[in-house]
Amino acid sequence: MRGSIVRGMGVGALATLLTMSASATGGTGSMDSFIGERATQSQRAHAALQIELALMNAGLESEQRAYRVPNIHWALDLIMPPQTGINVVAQLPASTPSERNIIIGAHYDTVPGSPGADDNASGTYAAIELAERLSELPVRNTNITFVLFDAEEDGAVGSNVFAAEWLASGRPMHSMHNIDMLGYDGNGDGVFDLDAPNGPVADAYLAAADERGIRLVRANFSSSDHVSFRKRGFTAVFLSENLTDGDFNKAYHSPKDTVIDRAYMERGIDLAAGAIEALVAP
Amino acid sequence: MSGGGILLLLTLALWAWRAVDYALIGSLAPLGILAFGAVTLGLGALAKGRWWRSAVRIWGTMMLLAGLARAGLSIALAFDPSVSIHASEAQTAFYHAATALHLVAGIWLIVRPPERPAITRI
Repeated sequence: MRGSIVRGMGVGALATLLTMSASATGGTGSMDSFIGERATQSQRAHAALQIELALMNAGLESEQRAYRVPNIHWALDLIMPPQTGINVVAQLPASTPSERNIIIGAHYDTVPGSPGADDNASGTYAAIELAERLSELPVRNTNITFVLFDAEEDGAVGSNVFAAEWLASGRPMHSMHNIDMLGYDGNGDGVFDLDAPNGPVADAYLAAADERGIRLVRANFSSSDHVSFRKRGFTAVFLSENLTDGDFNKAYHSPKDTVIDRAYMERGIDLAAGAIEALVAP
Repeated sequence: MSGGGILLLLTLALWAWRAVDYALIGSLAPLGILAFGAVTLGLGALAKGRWWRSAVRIWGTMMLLAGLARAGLSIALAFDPSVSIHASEAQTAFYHAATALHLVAGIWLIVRPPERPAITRI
């Protein structure tokens, strides 16, 4: 994206901060440690550190990619400062050298005033658990990049920055998999929504759902981080709880978003893992 | 230098800083505003008659509009800060001071434009 600035953090400083973060939260990347408002810059910076710690515990090295970019509309550049944020990125290389790349992403920020359990501590946790599971595969024919996006709630800024940088790099991308809100099943029917273009990627999800006895509803969503990839021509998938059949989480974007249905979420993670495993280890 | 002259220079300096800051990260919108203002003021300074005052009033109007937009954003966020966390966090003392400068300078330059600068023709 225009003007993005990528910077790394020294390993020593990071280790110190991660230790401080772990002792402050009493956790080492457990799901509970992701629940809590992550709206202000300081809250998001703290969350980014927690995510790095969790990825480290999952066995992956990660980096913070800070960005400073123009606003989502040029007119705002006339009266507002640039937007800043941090994407957290971890690489899981293929077991043999490969040019194939899959991106797995979720946003970690919240709207102000919401603890963001369902939106999107659930997706954050899912991405990290997927990192752990996929890293245990003995053979992978695809490089997998895990990205925890900043500022989805402020116009999908983090994912736009990442997708633009990827496009500029010229590297091929097989598909992007966005997980946003995976922790609410009010009617207990166990259904998930899938927005994916017809083809091998959608087929992988449908097959994984069949194998697990999960009903998937095909849907279309024009918001969230996958859109940042689609508008640049990449294949992108959106997996979420059942948002479309009158089972919408009433706590959405509110202070009441404090609970995750863990059993349901784990089924969603298992579904995503099954589909992505089929794509990276056929 | 008159008060109007100082305000004119302050607004130009503020927009020059914004134009460079945004140009470095890929947005040319503030640079476009600055270029329009600079060309208008430059032509106004070189032309004879009342063109200088008109040029200053055009720049003053632009500053007033920018100030009103900044103030409007602040008022909207006071009612609902959750609209945008980025916009909310932008509401710093510097932001409000810059808003005040835009409003004061805009009105001043429209009502009492400074005298045309002395230009030595070579």
